[in-house]
Amino acid sequence: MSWLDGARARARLFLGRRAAKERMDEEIRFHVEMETDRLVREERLDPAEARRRALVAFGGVEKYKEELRDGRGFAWVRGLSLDLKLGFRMLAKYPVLTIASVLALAVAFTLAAAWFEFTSDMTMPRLPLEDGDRIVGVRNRDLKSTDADFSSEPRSLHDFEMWRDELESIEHLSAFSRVSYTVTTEDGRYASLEGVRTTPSLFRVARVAPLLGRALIDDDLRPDAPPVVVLSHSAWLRLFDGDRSAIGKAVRVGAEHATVVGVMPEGFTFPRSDEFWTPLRERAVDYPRRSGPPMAMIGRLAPGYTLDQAQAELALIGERSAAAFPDTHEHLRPEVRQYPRGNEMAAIAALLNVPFFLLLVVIAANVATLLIARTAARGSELALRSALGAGRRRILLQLVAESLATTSLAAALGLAVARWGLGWRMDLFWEVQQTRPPFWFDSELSASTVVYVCPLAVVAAVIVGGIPGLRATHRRVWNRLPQPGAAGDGLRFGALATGVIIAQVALCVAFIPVAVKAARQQLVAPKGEDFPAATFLTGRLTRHAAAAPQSTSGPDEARRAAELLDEVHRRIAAEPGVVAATRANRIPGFNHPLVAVALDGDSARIVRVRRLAVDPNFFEVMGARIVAGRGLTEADVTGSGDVAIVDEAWAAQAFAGRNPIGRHIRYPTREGEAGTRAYEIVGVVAGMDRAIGPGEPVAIYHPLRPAEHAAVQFYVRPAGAPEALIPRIVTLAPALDANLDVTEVMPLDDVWRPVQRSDALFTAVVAVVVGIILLFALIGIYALTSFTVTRRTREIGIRATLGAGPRRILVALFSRALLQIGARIVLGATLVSLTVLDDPEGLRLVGGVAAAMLLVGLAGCAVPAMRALMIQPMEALRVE
Amino acid sequence: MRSVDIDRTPDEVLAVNASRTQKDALRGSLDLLILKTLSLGPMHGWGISQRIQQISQGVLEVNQGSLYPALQRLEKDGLITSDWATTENNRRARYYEITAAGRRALGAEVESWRRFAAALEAVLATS
Repeated sequence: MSWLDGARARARLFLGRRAAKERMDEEIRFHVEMETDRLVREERLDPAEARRRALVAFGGVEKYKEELRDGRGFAWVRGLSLDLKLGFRMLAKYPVLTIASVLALAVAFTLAAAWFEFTSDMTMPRLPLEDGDRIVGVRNRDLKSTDADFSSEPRSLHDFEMWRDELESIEHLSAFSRVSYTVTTEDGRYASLEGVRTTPSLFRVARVAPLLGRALIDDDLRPDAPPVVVLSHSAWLRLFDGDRSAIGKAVRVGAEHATVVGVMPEGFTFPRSDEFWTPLRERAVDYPRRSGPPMAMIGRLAPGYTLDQAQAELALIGERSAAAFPDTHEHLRPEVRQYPRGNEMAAIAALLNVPFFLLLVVIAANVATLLIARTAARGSELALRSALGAGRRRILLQLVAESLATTSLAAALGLAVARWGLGWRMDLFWEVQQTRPPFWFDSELSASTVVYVCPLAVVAAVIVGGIPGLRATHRRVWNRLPQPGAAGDGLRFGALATGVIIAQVALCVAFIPVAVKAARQQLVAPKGEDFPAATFLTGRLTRHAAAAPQSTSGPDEARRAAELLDEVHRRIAAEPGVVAATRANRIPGFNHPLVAVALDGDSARIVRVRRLAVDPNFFEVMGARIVAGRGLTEADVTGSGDVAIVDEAWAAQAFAGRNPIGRHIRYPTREGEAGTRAYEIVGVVAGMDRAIGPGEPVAIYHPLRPAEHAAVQFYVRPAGAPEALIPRIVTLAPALDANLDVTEVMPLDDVWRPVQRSDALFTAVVAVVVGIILLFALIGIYALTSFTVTRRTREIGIRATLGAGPRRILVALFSRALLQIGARIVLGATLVSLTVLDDPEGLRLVGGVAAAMLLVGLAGCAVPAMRALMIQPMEALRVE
Repeated sequence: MRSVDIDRTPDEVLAVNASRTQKDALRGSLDLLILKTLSLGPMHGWGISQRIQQISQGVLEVNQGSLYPALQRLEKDGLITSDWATTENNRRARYYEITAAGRRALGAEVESWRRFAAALEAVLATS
């Protein structure tokens, strides 16, 4: 057990540094006092003299304190701080190497930190609310619906009421329906806001009190209660300039006049990024099962209940409903999840960080390769240290500690850049997502990211210092280093360093052509550049659920709504100056979910595509053309609608070049294709990629039937500047029907720009990373060849002495270097061009990169060779 | 020793250094004296120095300051433990106590010391 006692004692000594110092002081004081007392008692000395003699007998208090400190195991801490100091001095001594290494490592740290921050925010969101981890979302999942088809999420008003009344494991269950309205004040100020119609219990879930006035209360749900609205802090600032007398004032929320009863505190936009809250008054009695407004549910786990218990209770109720109402509930499975979702993805988030970790490892290995030569130059110093008693481990530790100076500098720089970059990068991200960040999202660097970067810095230091250190302290090298005259042969680029350089060459040959191609495409012809997006105006026309007459939801209501949407469209098209107008169910390619599609006759092969519902004139207005079959017609809209137009490029790939016309497609549900509609492909469209611009490609188009959509996206092409038309369009729809609202009206290029900027940023990041890899490959090749030639300085001297002409020596050196580098390039290029590139342009780029590497390799060879030839043979012979 | 080192390769120097740093449970006679004193009962640092002096009748005078690094070393090696306690005259002092491992180490070291002393005695007794 002695090792255990020892370990315990060591741990105690180490952890209790302060306590240990106090203990040491007290023990020594006690000892001196006891000795003083003894001398006074036994030798009758006066106390002052006794104390002096006691101190003398002790023999130098400070000396023993020092000895005790070292004995506690802090010698290595002092050693480490010395090594770090030395490391920082080394940084200053080799400034070019330092700048290159720190910058390269900093890029890797920036990417690793920013990505870690981003993924942890996205996948492990934490609600900044009291007991936020007990807030859960509840929903019905329909096993029969096609995935990613958001509109098919089952309507659950009936279930909500049942669950609210019966669930014991979830309290304050609330339902909310997200809406976006233009909110207008009496003095004409307006703001287009996203908000929720919600049950008042939502505020009990959040446990946040209003800043002014009150939150929603249960009385607001009574049918005769006056309409009210609670505003977010930012909406209050925008509409009322933060005037406290806003409470009690009337505003128009979409079609409804409501009284402002409360303002929530700054930053509160629960449940997501919502700016106002109005009561959700729908009651289940007014609707058949599985109908009612689209809504989400949220609640709090009751005290003492876990998520699993809540799920079990909910599943039980779900089974009962499925048995009681098989027509509507047979395929419904209620489920409860953490809100916001994402916690279960922590493992995936960790995996997502692996590529950036590997990038850091690659860059660190590169820096290590560069440092081999520098470490070799310090061979004598290291040998001296060893002769003085430093073990190999101690010397390695020293080199790693020195590297820690480099990597921690790079990590600090990386964190600073990540912090600065995350701010505007995240704004761009949310702009691309066309939504505001959820209120729990925070673009500041979190402490966990800083903590994550620390071990990364240590790992990088182990690689940066360890690889050259292992080479420099290798047994073979050790034996030779102290012997004068043989030092030049001592250190070689080992298999590892050479392997790193070969890997770099392969990486360069692989990445650079691909990246150059992508970057050129991005720079020369950004997606959508040839499309006049600035001349289009787009916006969303929404028919609010509040308008649904409570007893007559059904086909009639849907038809009337469709007529309304059609009427608005006709009026927009008839506006003076409008050249063309068309509609789709959404902006194609932006936040556009994928759906699974089964190609008939080949049903085993299910592919995921984006689909879009469009007006018959959509292709024409967007400048696309039908290249086979026919386009969409009015008959397709009014008829069965079971037709599809496919994108030319997609069809060529999906149907392997065969004619798609007349073939059928289906959208299978989670339970397969049985009973799903078959759509006949009647036409092939080309040129839509221009109109989609930087968005993701859309594969399949169907006729837009407004009755099937609660909102449509309209596109208008005015003769003049599109902005001039915005005020007209915004007021046109509500004037026709109070329950219609037009939001997000903007020129199409405003929708595109953030995506284009994001693409450009991505290209820039790839270019920087590739640039660094290339730079290091080139420096690595230079270092390798120049190091090899430098080692042969002595040999060159002998050859010159023996009469070999400079030309002959150079030819010998160059041919060898060419052979070595050439072999590596051929190996890398062969590996890569077989798998990545097979087109002539790619091969040309591979050739260009290979030529650059050869040139750099030759330069690495030439400079030291010339230097060697310029010195006198006798001097060369004296070179150590 | 130094002359040998000079002829060694750095590798061999490393190996010798490593073996030299391997911890012996008892380092020198001071450790032996401390363990022996503590085997009679727990004691504080000053008490240990006094007891060694008393038992050896003043022959072995411990350098008082060097006692504490030795005590720390022995504690780190798990041969003794320590804790605060109050002395008879009501002063707070750190008391050291021998562990089971310490007793085993003491036994082995006493044995080896006796052999050494006997051998030395035998050499001195000749002629």
